[in-house]
This record gives sequence, structure tokens and C-alpha cells, in this order.
Amino acid sequence: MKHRAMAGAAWATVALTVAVNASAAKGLFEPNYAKVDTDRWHCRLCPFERAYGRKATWTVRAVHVADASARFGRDSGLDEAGASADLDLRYRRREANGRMTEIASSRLGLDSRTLRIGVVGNRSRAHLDRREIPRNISRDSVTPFAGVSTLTLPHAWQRAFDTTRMTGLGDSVRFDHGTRRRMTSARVRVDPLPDWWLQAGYSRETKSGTEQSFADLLYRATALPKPVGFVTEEFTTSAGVERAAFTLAAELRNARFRNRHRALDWQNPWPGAVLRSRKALAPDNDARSLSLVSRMALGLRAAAHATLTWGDARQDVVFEPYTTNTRLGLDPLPSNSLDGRVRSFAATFNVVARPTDRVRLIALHRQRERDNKTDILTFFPVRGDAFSLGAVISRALDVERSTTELGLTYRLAPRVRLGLFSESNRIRRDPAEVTANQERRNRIELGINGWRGVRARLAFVEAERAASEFRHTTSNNPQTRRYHQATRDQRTWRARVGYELDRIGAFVELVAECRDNAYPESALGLQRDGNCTRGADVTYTPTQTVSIAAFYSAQERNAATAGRVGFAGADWRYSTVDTVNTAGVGLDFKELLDARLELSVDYVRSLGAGAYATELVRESLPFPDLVSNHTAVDVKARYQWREQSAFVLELRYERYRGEDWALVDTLDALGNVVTFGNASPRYANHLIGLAYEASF
Amino acid sequence: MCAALLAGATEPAHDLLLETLIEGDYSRRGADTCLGCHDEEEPFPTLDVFATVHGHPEVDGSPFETDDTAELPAGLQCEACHGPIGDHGRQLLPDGVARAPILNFGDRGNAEASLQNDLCLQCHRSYERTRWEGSAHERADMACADCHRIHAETDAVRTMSGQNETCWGCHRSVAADALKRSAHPLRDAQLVCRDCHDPHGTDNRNLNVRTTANETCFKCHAELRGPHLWEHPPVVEDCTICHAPHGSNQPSLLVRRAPQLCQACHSSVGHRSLAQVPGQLPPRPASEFLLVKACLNCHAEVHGSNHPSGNLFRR
Repeated sequence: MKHRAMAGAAWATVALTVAVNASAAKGLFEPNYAKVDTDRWHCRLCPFERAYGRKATWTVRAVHVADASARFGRDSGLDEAGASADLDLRYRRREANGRMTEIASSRLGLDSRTLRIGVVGNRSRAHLDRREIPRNISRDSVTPFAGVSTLTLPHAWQRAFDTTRMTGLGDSVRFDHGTRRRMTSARVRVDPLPDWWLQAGYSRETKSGTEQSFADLLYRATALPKPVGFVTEEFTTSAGVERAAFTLAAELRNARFRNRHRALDWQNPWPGAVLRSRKALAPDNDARSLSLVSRMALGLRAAAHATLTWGDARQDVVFEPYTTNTRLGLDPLPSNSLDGRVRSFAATFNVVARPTDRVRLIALHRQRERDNKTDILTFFPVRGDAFSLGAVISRALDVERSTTELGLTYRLAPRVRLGLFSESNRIRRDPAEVTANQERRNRIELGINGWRGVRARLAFVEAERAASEFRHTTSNNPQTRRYHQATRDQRTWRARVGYELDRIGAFVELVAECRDNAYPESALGLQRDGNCTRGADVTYTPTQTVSIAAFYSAQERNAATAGRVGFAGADWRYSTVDTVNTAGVGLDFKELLDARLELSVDYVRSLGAGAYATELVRESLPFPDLVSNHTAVDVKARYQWREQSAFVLELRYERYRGEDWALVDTLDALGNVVTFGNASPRYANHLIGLAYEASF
Repeated sequence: MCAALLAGATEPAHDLLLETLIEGDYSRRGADTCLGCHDEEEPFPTLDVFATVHGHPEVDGSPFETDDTAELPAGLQCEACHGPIGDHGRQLLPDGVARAPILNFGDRGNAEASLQNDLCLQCHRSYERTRWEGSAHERADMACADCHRIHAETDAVRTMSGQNETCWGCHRSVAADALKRSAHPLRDAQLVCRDCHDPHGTDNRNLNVRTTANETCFKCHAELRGPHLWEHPPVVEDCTICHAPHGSNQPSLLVRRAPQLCQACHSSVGHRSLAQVPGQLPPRPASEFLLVKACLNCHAEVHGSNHPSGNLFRR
């Protein structure tokens, strides 16, 4: 019902948008064009020759990486030792008719290559993008399994209850663990009439490689190299009309996800009657949505916009059988496939008004709905491929979230603004133990934007989230509250104060932000959590050719959790504190050596630490610290050799030290888990690159 | 300080510029008037604007468009953006008299951001800027020129390599996040901020490009969209309940690690998933439920399962 009311209101807004007179003003001022007289505007000093012609730059680069390290080249593709060649290309052409063609490509010799081609004219434009993104997780993962989606153990595998007795583990093979994305997209826009546009786009992304997954057979788990063979495609078409007084547009989006692998079948390395098992992999899905977007100017000083989006997602992949254990006598599945269907609806209405020069009013309403229309089915799941514990009904979840926000900002003085905001958030979910939350959030903030060299933003936010009555509908201990559903008190402070020292060309800024959440009705589960960031930022530009920038950031994220193994009150507590301190310095020098040399040096250091402890009734059990220390130095020197050619020297030194008590570096370190035998990465690595850059 | 803040609601430079915008006289010779002084020898060279669309005489709507029939402010040359020259163009000034200001942008901006932006939006009031009013950056009094470089041949924020650096100028904590143990590939710009956020405003929280956090994530992680036979409530509700999208000190961008993260919602009935005696602490033979992926050693499919026996996310 509400859905319909929202849709009705939205349509009314859209209709009103269309009906608005095009004479509405464009902004807060109306230039007096009557004073314009361009008869003598010949622009003889304008260097229009810069607007025409073509310019191409190619950069060929030789790169040498000292050591092979997956993390060093995690996202760049520079994970292997040795030399490689690389190429960047840039081309730009501007024609006399205003059409511009631009090609920008980088890292063509690496797995992280990008290519962008754009042709932009007065009435049409087209873009083609290609991006490849590697994700190198490790180079030292080992597994006893062979195969892709059907994993088999070595022929002479000795099944055992403990990994130390699995003699076949010694035959495990090393493999590169990671994925690689290849993304291609194209879009075309045409403006057939003044103010009207049509746009169409297509994107295709493939992701291939291996991810780590696990599966268990009654508390004996196995790390499995899960094959990744994803193809995601998306088609979008949109059309719109833009006038000074209003904008109206419609967008249709169709997305399709396909997984080349339906299931992962693996041979059981543990003793027992089950020789093989199977798990389902991500199912294919289709999604589509229709959006209507409108904006209208309400006189000189106000504007409203509304967006409505209807979505539909479907999934209907054929189910795997309950189990691969054919000796179990089981009822047939209630359906061959899920025929899953989720409808979604999103609406946003926003009005911003500036009734006077000092006052700005904001009203916003946002509605998001996920309505799972999938039929509820009854299944008899088989645990560990060994036995069934009875009937279970499937879970199809609905979520509805709405936000209403009212805001007022008042200009106290030039460039000084005080803001008061009040927000009401409501979440409804079904089925759930806590079916509804209502949160009120109030914020006061002071913004100073360049007043006497001061830039500052100070804010305080207070929020209280109430929860509906708890219903004990699961096997969870009823004293536990899911923290995203639980009653919550929240306090947030934000302060950002900067000062510009114009005389010496410096800017100094201090930042502090803290948020604390408390869950007063949660006897078990998360009790409190919070995060705090403090930082400083300094830039110093003594001359036009020298700049120095430094920053420091200290982040802390903490949490306390209470629990109990049985059904009673808390008998243990966890505390976690993660801190990451990051500092960086950057130096930029231009016009050295007769304006031929540019030099930049960047140093960053990130020191991450995690402290965890279990507090029992009588003792505290601190875990070893988690460590993630990253240090990097980048040096880049560009020497302008001739007018249109230059040499570029690049150096990168990177040191990383990770220590994680959860990782085990040998396959048989855990009795009941076959792992990948991964250790925390630790390396000191560097690369040297020499590039020749030429323009013509 | 408060008294000083409240002392006046007017700013001489801003008010003068606004007055000039509305009532000032345009120059007699257009850009030739300006470029007589503002050439490459200036501390802030201006001529590179002719290497951009703004300086092209044949680009529809450009300030330097030469088509007389184009709708103003197209063709108003420098004054299309900087406003009527007014008294700023006076050639001779008496001793001790400062030159009248002209509207400037960005680092040298001498008018309030809203006024600067109104100048840009004269032409750039397009579909992509539909949600600018009331957006986070508009509320924060950001000016277009705080991010965009109009006179530069290449606007860094519109390039893959320069975009993240521009955003990190203010969002320092995100720059720090990109260095953490797990992070999206932001550091070398394989992903850019625009992939997930639209700085010109969206209808969605955190300037997300799609209607919800989940829909934004599904752009790249479509395998998680489902719907699944067995759905996990926080996954359906909001990915950020468990993940810190910019970077985390934990694996897989988790806000906390398993089992602590899981135990924030799930009591540990029947599970030895915590260290109860010193002998279960790492590096000694700790509980297998604590190490590697902890709870996920068995419940690996926490994002949802489509297997008939996957009700506990084990298949």
C-alpha cells in the first residue's frame, strides 16, 4: 500500500516537473546580458592553435622487480621477479569542428593494463574502456587437490583423522592463488535534438582464477581451490530531456551474471563413508531495473528532485542434490530450482531551498525496499553428507528501509555556516528476531570555509536506535541480539580544523573523528564498538616549484563481545582493538637543472596492529598481536631531454611484515583442517623502472 | 572569535563580485582585454584553457564559441565564467587604489562556493548534476574548482591516475585505508573513487552510485546478488555490516575477524570457538575454530547458499 502511495507521489512529482514553466530561473543570480556588446570581440590574442591539432605521447618503460612477491604486485601485476617491458600511450586530437578524440592507455605490458578511447563531438560522444585488474593473493599456496571443479586427491592418498597422518599431503603442489578481472565497457550518447539525449551502454566483465573456499564433513574442514569463472554483463539505455527549469530522464538497466562452474566436487581427504562431496557455487542471476529521474527548479531559490527505481532480480539455477551420498534414502527435492525472484523499489525525494542568502533548507525522503517473492520451500538438508536432522524451510528475506531528513543551514557570517539536521531512519525486516528498528539521529555542525584563512568543520551527532520486541525464532541463545538489529546508542564527534598561512605558503589541518556505539539491551553478542581517527595534514609550498606535503593518521577500531558456550548469561568476553597508524611525506621539485628536471619523492608508512584478548571469569588470555606493517618509498625523476622527449626514472622500495596468528604455514599444522599452508607475507622488495617518453 | 564571526553577514569581496555579476559592464574587447595582462608570464598561466573544450571555438556552448547565435553565456570568453569585467579592466589606477576584484575559483576563490558553482552550473546543469543540490559536497560548500582544474590541459580528477589523489586531498583516512592489509586496489588507481561514488551527488547514502550499498557492491561482485535459497540476514541488509569497503586491518575487508565478528550476533552454543585455556592460544595448537578462517572453515558460504543442504552455509 505504502509502495503504491510512494509511487503515486513520485508520479505526481514527475508530472509537476513536466508542467513547470521553462521560465524558472537558473540560479541565484541573473546576469545582465543586455550589457553585452561583442562587436569588437575579435580575440586576436587567443592562441586558438592550441585548440586544434593532435598530440601523441608514448612512454616505453623497462621495469625490473627484485623479488617475486604476490603482495608487492597484488594489484599491479608486478608479482614476478625479473625484467619486463611496459608501454603507455596517449593520443589526443582536436578537430576544427570541435570533435575530440582521446586515447589513454597505461601499463599495457602488465596485467593491470587500462585503455580508454573517447570521441566527443557536439551532438554525440562514444567511449570505450578496457581495464584489467589482477588480484594476486599468494604464490606459495599448496593443495593436495588436482582439478578445477572436480577436485581429486593423489592416487595413493592415505585418509586419516589427523592431518599429520595424511601422508599424501607431502605430494601437495604449489599454485598461484589469485584472480584476474577483465572489464570492457562501451557507451554512446547522442543528442538528437537540443536538450534531448539518448544513451546506451554495454559492459562485460570476466573474472577468472582461484579463490579459497572451505567445506567440512562433520567438523573436519578442507580448504578448496574454488574455481572462478564469472561473466557479468550489463546493458543500459537511457533517455532524457534537460531544460533550464527541469530535467527528466529514464534509465533501463539489464544485468546478467553467469558462472562457468555450477558446483565444486571434491574428494574427501578424511576417513568415513563419504568419499566425495559437493557444494554449490554462485548461481547465475539476472537483474533489471527501471529508473525515472526528475529535477525541477522551483523559482529562483529552490529545486526539487525525485528518483524512482523499480528492480527485479531472478535466480533459477537447478539445485544440486541433497548429497552425493547415494546410500541415504531421501525424499526428492521439493523443486528442481528455486525460481527465486526479488523485487526492489527505491525512491528519493529531495527539496533544497535557499529562501534567503543566509538560509538553506533541505528535506529528503529515501525509501528502499527489498521484497523477496520467492516461494518458501521445505527441505531436508543432509549434514556432512551423512544424516538429515529434519525439515527446514528456506529463507527469503524482506528488508525495507526509509530515511527522512530535515536540515537547516544558516550563514552566521561570510563563509561560516551553522547546520542543524534531524534524521529518522526506520528498518523493517521479515522474517527476523527483531523485525523493526527506529533510529533518530540529530546532527549539529559548524562549517567555516576560508574565513580569514580558517577552514573548519565541527560536527556532533547523537543517535538512538530502538528495536522492536525480540522474538526467539532461531536456535541462537535468546540473550543474544544481532548487533545490526539491536538497540543502539551512538555518539559521533567530528572535527576538522585547518589554517592557511598565506604568507609562507603553508596549510595546516588537524582532524579528529570518533564514533561510539553501545548496545544496552544485548546481554550477549556485541556489547560496544567504536572507531576513532586522529590526524594531521601539512602542506608547504615555499615557491611555485617546490611543495612539501606530510600527513599523519591514527585510526583505532575497537569492540567488546560477550558470549557463552551454553544457554545462559555471559561467561566470556572478547575485546579487540585494531590500530593503524599511517604517516606520509611527499616532496615535489619542479624546474631543477635549468627547468629540465622534475623530482618527486613519496614516503608512506602504515603500522597496523591488532590486540585481542579473551576475558574469562578467572583469567585473561591475550592473543599474540596481529601485525601488518607496510613501508614504501617512491621516487620519480623526469628529465626533459629534448623539447619533446624525456627520460623518467622510477624507483619503488616496499617493505611489508605481516604476522597473523590465524594463518598456519604448513599443511599439517592443524589437526582437523586441511589448509593452503599460507604464512603471513613478509618481504622487502624494490623495482627500478626506466622510461623514455616522447611526444609528437 | 564568535563575535568576529557574527560581526557581519556580508563579505565585501563576495558582495562586490555578486553586484558586478548582476550589474557590471562587460569588456569592450572580450578576451583581448584580459590576455593583455594574463599571459604565460603570470603566476597562474591562463592560456592552457585553449587546449581544453572551454577554449575551443567550435565546441557548442564553449565560452570561446564563435557562433553568434549561441545562447549566452556561450561565447562570452573569459567573462562567461569570471563575470563582467567591470572596473577590474581599468588600465590606469590612481596610486594606492587596489584593482577591483574579478571572480576567481578554487584555491584563489574569492566568492562563496555557491556563487562559484552557480557560474559553472549555468552551462553544466545536466543530468549528471541533477542531484548536486543538497548533496554532501554541496552541503560542505565545495566549489567545482576545488576538484577540477579548468585552465589545465588535463584535468587530473578526470583521469584514472589522478582521481584518487584528488579525492584523498580531503579524504585522508581513505588514503590510509588503501595501505591496509586488505584494501580495494585504490593505491595504484586500478579502481577509482568514481567506480563506487559520484561526487556530484546521488540519491543514495555515501554518494553511492547505486541505490544501496549492496547494489553498489554488486556492480563488481554480482555473484553475491542471489537471491539464494538460504539467505543470511546481514548480507541481504547491508554489506557494510561486516565489511569496511576502503580497507581493513583484517582479511577480506572485514570490520573484525572471525570468530569475533560472527560472535557479535551468534552465541557460540556447541562450538569451541574461543580460547578457554592458555593451551588454546596461538601459536600453540589452538582451537581449529579460531585459526585460518575460523567459523568460515565450515560455514564458508556466509554470503548465501543455493545448495539444498546449505542451510548452515556449509555447502
